[in-house]
Amino acid sequence: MSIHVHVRVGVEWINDFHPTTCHQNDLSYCDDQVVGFYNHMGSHGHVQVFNWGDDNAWETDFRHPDFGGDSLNWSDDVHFCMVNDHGGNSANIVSFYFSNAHTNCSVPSTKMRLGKKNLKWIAALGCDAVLNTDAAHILAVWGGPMQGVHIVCGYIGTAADSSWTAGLGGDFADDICGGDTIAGSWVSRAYSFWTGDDSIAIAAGVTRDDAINRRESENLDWRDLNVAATNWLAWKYRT
Amino acid sequence: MADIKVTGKLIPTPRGPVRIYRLKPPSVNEKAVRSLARLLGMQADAKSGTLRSDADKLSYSQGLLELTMYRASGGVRFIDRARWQVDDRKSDLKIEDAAASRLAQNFVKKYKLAPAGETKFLKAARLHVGEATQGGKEASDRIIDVGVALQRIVDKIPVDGPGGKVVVYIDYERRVTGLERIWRELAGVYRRGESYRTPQNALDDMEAHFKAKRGIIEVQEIRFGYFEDGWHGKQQYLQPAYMIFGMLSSPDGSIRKRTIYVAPALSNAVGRITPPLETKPAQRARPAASY
Repeated sequence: MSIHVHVRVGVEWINDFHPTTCHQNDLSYCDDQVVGFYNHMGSHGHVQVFNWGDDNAWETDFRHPDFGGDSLNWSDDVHFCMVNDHGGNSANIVSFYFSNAHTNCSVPSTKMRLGKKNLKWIAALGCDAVLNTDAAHILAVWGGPMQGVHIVCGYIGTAADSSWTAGLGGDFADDICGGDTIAGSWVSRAYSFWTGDDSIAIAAGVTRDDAINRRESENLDWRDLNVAATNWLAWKYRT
Repeated sequence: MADIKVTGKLIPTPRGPVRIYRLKPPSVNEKAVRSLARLLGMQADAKSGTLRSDADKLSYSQGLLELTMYRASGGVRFIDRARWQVDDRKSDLKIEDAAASRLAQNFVKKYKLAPAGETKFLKAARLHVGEATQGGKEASDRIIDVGVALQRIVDKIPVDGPGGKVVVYIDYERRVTGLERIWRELAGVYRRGESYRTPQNALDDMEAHFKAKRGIIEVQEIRFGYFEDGWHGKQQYLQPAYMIFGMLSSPDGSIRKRTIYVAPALSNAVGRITPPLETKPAQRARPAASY
């Protein structure tokens, strides 16, 4: 099955942090996964909009203007955004961490309004998209930030920064550009028997059937089938 | 420089004879993919199905059955799209690991996907589906599939890494819906192992590998085994290795990411295993925000 629409793609990644401001342990392979995704999406004819790495990746790209951010011009101005950096989750709030304070060193999910403009799918490859698979926790973390976005992809708990998973982004892009479902492909490709990565994909819907349909069947061709209201979440995960 | 801290006990240096094997170059072509397709029950004659090819892989599909071979590794992925990971919205697969393993072993034996006696059960990973209202009502969780990983064994030593395993997927009716196999064929003994390096040698390699990186890596586990690469790895030799599993953790432990380093375990090893970190070109500074 082939895909009939073009999607706009943006990626952000951080490998190198600074010892003074925004200090975190350095990472090494975040670019491999997301730039692989970016390049493979481009090779399938999709529109490459931005690829910001290290100090060029800014938390304001994910923070909604209601909170002083610029998300509507970046993460929410593409259809598919992938971000790979340090992630953390505390009190049901997931945060992405950046190497450069522009304006802050991190952005919490409470300041994200994913899908308010154009964003349909986001893959957050940092750790702790969720800490566990309790329904109450998944809803508490993502129920608020998902405001039009169709599907969020991530990991349960920690993820590996590894040379051995460098091909993930390219494989995932090839799958979904071939017509595979977004949630199914993510959960299948991102799970690893070896590295211990446990994958999850969370779909939004107006009704139970809508959310399940998106979880089970949505591919890139669903780009313009908007989620009118996030009344339900439906997820799948392998562990 | 990254600071390596071992939080667990180091494993002892292995003893006993061990070998390094040459691996056969993978044979990924139309003949091979059609032959394997026939073995797996697809029609796969010259007139049926569709072949697709790109730089990384060769795929053959017939109806909803799809077989893919990866050029670099010879890895195989076979999926029945009518059933693989499909949710019928009601079934809940309750199956113990032992029963799932038996089903997987029987499938592997029937289709000769691995030589008898050269696998052991590694893990069963279950695919769950769940849903709930935004307010947390009507929450549910069901299992719709189990993926059973069987680990390769060579000379009674486990083969570790992203490869060296067969994964069999089983659905809620306990039918096989797909498989993944990364199992490079041995071409013979390349050389016999002279002496073992120690786990500390491997840790030293890891420290050198991350010398340009800042941070603290807490080493939680070191495993010994043969190392086999994944789908996209061009691997010529199967050799013993130490696999080091570490955690990058912020001082308060709230921000973590795992890391993995693989080092050769023999003094006469063939090269390094973890590729060196590439020096990446610096990005041009991003223009200031306009908002």
